[in-house]
Amino acid sequence: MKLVFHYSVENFSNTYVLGPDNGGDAILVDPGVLDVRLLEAIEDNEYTIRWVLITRCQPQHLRGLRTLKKVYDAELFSRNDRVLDFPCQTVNPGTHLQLGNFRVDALCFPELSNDSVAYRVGNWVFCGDLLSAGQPPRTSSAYTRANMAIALERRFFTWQDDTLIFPGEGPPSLMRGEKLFNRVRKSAGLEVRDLAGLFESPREVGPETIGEPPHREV
Amino acid sequence: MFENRNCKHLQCRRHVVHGSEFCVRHLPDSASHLGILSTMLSDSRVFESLSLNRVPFAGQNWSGKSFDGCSFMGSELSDMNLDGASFRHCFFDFSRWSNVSAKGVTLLFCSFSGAQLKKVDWTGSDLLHVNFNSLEASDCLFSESDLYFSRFVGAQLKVVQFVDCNLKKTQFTGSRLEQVDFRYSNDDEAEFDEETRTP
Repeated sequence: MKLVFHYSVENFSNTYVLGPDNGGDAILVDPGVLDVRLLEAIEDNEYTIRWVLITRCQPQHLRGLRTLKKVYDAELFSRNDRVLDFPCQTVNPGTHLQLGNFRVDALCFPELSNDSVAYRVGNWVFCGDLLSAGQPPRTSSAYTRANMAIALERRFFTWQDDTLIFPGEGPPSLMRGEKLFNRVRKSAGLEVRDLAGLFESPREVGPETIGEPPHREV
Repeated sequence: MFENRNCKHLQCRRHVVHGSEFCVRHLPDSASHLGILSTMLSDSRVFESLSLNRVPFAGQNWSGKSFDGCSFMGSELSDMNLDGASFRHCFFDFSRWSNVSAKGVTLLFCSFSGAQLKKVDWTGSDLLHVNFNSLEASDCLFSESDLYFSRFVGAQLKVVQFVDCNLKKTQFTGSRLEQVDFRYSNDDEAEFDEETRTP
């Protein structure tokens, strides 16, 4: 499975394409933009966008949808049954989608908004606005923030530590890192203070090391 | 992108090392396998989807090499030369770096959360969309680098230089800064907590 990351300078948002290693039918997550660079990346990998997953029906995740629909006859998935006048397959909490060889699990977070969905494909999670590396989701009130902290604790941070997180905005992250360091957990008093044992030295595995130190000063 | 397959050793949940069914701890012939990896890393220039979790590297020269979708989680890099190398969609979470020259490096959409960097020189690098959250860095140089949309949330930075850097949308919230130099950088476009900022 291959991942193509694309950043929209206009929306400050991320778009992802995931497809097989050798080209074929692919999934696009959040069409915030469809510009020449993204189109070239899709074509260079010999992908055909067959499915579009929308994490939230907000402009920064949708601005490229009209252009995309002109190029590809893709099926849309979101919490709403229509997005920008296009019919959409509604994703319900706990929905499992089989999109070609991809099994996609959908998890809804009404605590953030009624159209917010996180999609999990293998150990990759496309979480949209749910959280961003190290940061809690943007919320309008302390009440929503507290509700989100509980929801994430019960339904998001329960996933495996090696889950790779691809947010709608900002750099990627690792579930283990988010469990330990995300400010939403800190604000809920759940941060891990004792990091002893976290940095297990690779040297403990044996004396072998790739290469030899040349004693060079940097 | 790298695969996260679990080690075949009974009850081991670590991830396998590239080219093996076992993690680095349970490699049947560790020296031989790491030797093969070493040869591969020195002979080729372009790498994709390598899983090198917890592998210790020392004295390697990866300058000008390109890595895409590779995992170096928990690995240890010491006395390395990475000048001009390119890393895209790579994960270095909880890795440990010491005495590494990484001048003119391109890091795009990578993650270093919980990593430890000591005497690492990133001068003149493009470090775009990089997750440095809860990084522990000391005696490091990020000068003349583009750090657009990178994050140092909760990081501990001690004697670190960000001289003449692009810090647009770079986040330092919740970080602890000690002897950090932001001269000639657009730090007004970065995000800080008022209490953590020590200009």
